Amino acid sequence: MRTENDDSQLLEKALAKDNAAFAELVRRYRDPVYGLALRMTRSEADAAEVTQDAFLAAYRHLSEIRTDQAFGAWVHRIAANQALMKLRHRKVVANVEAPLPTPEFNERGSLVEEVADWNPTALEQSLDAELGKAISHAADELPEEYRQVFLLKDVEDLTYEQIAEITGDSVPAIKSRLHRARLAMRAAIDRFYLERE
Amino acid sequence: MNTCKDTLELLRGYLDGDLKPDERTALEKHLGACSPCVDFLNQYKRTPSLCKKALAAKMPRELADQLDAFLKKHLANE
Ligand SMILES: [Zn+2]
Repeated sequence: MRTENDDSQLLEKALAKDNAAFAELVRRYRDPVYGLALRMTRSEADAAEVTQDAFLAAYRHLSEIRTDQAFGAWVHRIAANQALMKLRHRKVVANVEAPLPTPEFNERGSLVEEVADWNPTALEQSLDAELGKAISHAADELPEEYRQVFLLKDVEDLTYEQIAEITGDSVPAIKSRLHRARLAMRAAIDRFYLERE
Repeated sequence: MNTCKDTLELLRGYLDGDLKPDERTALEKHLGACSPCVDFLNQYKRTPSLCKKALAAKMPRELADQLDAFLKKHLANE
């Protein structure tokens, strides 16, 4: 996939005002940056705007990138910041969200739910695509503050400290939300496999 | 003895290495005796990678073109 130039070479050229090099960095990272923005804002138009603003901000602040930082991770963080700002400015009435699914226990605290086999032997071609849709739907259904944390930690691989810096929340709060979000996503995947059994 | 409920509540901390030694011991003791919780833990561990794969998106062509045009215009003015 990589051409003769790796990211750090392109970055060096971009810092020397080589706009073609910056354009190449944009081409490399626009899909994942857009993907993050789309998941965070749940709007194509907002995601497109966040992507534009993120790359423009990256360009303007290119000289602030640390030498040990990867361009990709850096621009993702800028995009996450922009998406959160957009969400904060979105003055919509908070929609009523269903409570997050949690595992079911009996009165003695023992797990009672049926757990599906996630490695069905009769693998169908369409399975991946269908599972993808189920996961995407479940992620969109997560309450916002849970969705952000899940996306930033488990999809973007940011550290808790980086997420705290972006969201302004405490690390313990982020950890607790991450756990709830994972339980909900696990439940959605499990439901998908159970329904296919 | 930890219940399943106590155990599942601590999974994130367990995987991140955040638990105190006695919490960890109690959790591992429960896992050693409870296969539903082991299955649950395995699913919990696999969830992020399955989601990562599923949530990758490609920017639609026309939006990518708009992005190109937008950046060309702004970069030329900087
Ligand atoms: Zn158990």
